[in-house]
Amino acid sequence: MRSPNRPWRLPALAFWVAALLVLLPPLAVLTYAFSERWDHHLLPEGPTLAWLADVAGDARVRSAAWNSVWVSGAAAGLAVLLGGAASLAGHLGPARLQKLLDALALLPYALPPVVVAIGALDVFVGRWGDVLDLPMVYIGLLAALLFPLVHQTLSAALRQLDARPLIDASRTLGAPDSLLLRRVLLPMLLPAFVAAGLLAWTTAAMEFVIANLLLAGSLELLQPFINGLRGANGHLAAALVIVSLVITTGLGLLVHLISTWRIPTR
Amino acid sequence: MSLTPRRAWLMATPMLALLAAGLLLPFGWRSLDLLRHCLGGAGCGLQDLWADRFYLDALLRTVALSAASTLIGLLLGLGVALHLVAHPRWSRLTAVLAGMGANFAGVPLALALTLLLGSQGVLTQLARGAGFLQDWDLTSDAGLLLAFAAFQVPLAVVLLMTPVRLLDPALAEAAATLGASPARFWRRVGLPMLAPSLVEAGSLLFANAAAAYATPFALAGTASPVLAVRIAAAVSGDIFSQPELATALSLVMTALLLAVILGGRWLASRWRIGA
Repeated sequence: MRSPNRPWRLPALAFWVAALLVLLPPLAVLTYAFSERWDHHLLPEGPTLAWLADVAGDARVRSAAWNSVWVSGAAAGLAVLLGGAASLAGHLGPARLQKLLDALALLPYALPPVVVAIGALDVFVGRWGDVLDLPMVYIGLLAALLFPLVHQTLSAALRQLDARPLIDASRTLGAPDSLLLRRVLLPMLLPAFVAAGLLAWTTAAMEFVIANLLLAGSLELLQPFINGLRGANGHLAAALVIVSLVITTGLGLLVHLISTWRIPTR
Repeated sequence: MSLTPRRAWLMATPMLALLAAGLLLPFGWRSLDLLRHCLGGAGCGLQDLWADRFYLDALLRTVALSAASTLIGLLLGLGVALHLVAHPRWSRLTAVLAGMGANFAGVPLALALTLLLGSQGVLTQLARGAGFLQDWDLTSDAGLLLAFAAFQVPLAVVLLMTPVRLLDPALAEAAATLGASPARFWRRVGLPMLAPSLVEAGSLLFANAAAAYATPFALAGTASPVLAVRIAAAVSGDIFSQPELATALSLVMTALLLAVILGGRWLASRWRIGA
């Protein structure tokens, strides 16, 4: 019979299988980005920084990267601004509004980006394409899809903060809600706002399907650009993936640090 | 200034309007258009769905692929979360790496898998040299399942780490004192208590896999046999555009995802109340 004290090995096995599954793909791209060729043996040949230098010197790469940075940044900013205001209103206001926002936060899971993209192609390009600016439409769509991320991050922070007694105390003392919001809630929620913004930014920068279907030919973003580059020069595409991975992981680390930097509890 | 219910609704209105205009309006518009065509008596896109097995096959493949990758994700994700309870010093690094892994999908993942396991991939050649993987094809169902597992497992880790960590450690200690092995404790006590979180995580993982477009598209192009790629190919296909068919497929996909997400939440809340 199995001894109760014998170590249970299945979780450890799952941990290492998962580690292999998560680490092997980025390591493969990293190896390819820093080698002259990797198609003959298990080990790559000719370590080089040439692909990374080519990425830095390529005007098309810089343009696609800059487009991705400002478009995803604008979408994340819009999502945090409008989504943050809605989340706060839901938490401080009527329960019905909170329920509606919780339900709407599920919408982007039920309406996948491809469904949103083909609907947008028909309505915003086919019917109103003459009067609408496509990058602005794309930013609006991304901001709507990012709402659950912002809403969930802020709702968790508001729950952790336990804002209800604060609001009740402030109202009992006759302070207006705007003062409570400006002097107490917003400063305490600042880390959550920053974390939500960074998370939304990196998520938006990785978006592919809507950019591919809606913006093809009008504005080149990084993900569709890398996909096109794969066929022409895999090493260059790999170098570009590594650069964006380093940036997004750095931002992810920052989000993790901000999120674990606990909101002061009372 | 106090936040009256009216002011709260006004504060939320811009986001509500954006959600309505960006997500509901285009989908609703196209769905109503399809309904009008179908009720008008003329042929409509819904009939194309079951005209041959092409789209039904894509639907079944998507469901099978999503279910299998969800199961793999839950099993490995739960295993990782349990391992971290025993080895908490790995938690911080795992959280960061899982976040990176969940984002390393789509084009970057397709590039990585092509390098490793494509027809000229380094692992494929190595395995073929040793007499294995002779018929391996990265764009086959097995290849797609591997690709889906690569982004589902880290997402499952992200979703399950907190609920597993929050389980009362006194229960495990009491079970150990009474002579139960860790496996027995988790089978009889831990897993039933985690069941609502597992159902919720499972429904999100299923939706994440079923909606995946970039990974299968980057691996196999428009020939990829999953529903999301078929929907896009119906409006931007190589031959001709079939917007009605795309709408019909979108409706099927949305109904499927709504059923999975709402069903998951309903089941989880029932189990939480019953616990």
